[in-house]
Amino acid sequence: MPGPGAFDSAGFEHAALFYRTPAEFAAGVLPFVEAGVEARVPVVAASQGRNLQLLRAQLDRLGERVALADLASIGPNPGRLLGWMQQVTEQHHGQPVRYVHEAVWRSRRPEEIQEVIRHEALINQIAGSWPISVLCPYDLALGRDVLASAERTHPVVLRDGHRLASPSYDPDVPVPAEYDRPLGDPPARAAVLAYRNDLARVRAFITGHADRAGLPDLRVRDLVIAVGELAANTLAHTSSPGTLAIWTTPKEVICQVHDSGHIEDPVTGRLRPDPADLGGGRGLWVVNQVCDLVQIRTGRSDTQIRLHMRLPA
Amino acid sequence: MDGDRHAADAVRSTAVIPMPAEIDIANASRLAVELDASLKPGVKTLIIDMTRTTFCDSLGVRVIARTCLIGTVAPRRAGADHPGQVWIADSRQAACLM
Repeated sequence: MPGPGAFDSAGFEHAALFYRTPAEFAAGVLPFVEAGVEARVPVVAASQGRNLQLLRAQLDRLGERVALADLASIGPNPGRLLGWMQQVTEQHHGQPVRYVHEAVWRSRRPEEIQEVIRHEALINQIAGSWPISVLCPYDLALGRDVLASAERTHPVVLRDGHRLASPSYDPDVPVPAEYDRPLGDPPARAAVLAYRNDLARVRAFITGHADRAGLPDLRVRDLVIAVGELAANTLAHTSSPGTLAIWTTPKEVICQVHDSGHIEDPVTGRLRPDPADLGGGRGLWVVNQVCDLVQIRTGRSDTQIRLHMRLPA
Repeated sequence: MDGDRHAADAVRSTAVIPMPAEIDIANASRLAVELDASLKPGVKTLIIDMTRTTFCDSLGVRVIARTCLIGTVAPRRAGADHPGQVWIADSRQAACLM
């Protein structure tokens, strides 16, 4: 049986590697990286914390074809990860690239992990168009539901040195149902505004509430930009009013927009729009770039989008 | 005299279009029409004056990007003597995507 390093150097691959210890992490990841280096394929190793240190310690040996990326510093919003991978792939002019991609870690909070799982699922949707091999290490100390989702969102799984087709992966399910449920209503304490045409009023509403919640000026502006894009989408794509709610938790300002729109393509807003393309579709991209976390749930007759902005510690 | 005439020509060949305080879906298409109309023959430089602008959404950016494309690429394609120039005067304070 081929070992974990035996990925195709061209074509699309997306595998989950389950590990228990740093030694198992190294035993799974390093052959994959080394095989890339040997085949002269650029490798981008993205992780954080201890595992990133482990990879860094091997860098001298692996040479300059390996680039490291700290996912904790790329930003908390997993909605940006596909665009980041697109950018890296473009930097290599569409040539094959190998990714080590550890985007779930134990201290990551559940809302972010949910969005990482959605991102993992959407990586498969771009299969065929990018010649990338993506190896996603998952710590077996993560929750059982997270590990089950990792199996569902990766066509291939590597466990105890064995490589097999994931029994629960279904290419016809873009996003596993448990990560596509409606977000629920805002809490009763949220301030609520129904809007249609008056986007200036939407901006004033958000500015006032986010300011009072203690969000720094620049982040208030970012939130105003993001909510403005969502409210403009309501206006452009639906014929009924939207509802906007804003509330605060000890760590965040959260906004939720609800309207009667439907977002057809789950990848919308995750890939960078072509600068020369003067058509639409930039709104959700912008929203993903400026917010700390974006949760988009769309059904047949409505869409909920929740935006999170971290408050200063 | 000559200097004055050059200065007058330069003024005529430069169009300055002031942008409003806020640009969004409510006024973006009107601004697109206004900016298109400013790119008339003889105009070599267009200044999109955003010094008053405090908000501009992605639709506004699209309108401005389109004007930049038409104003700079199209004249070259059409074989004009000078490529057009589009300048954007911006406000440091803007909650703006640019």
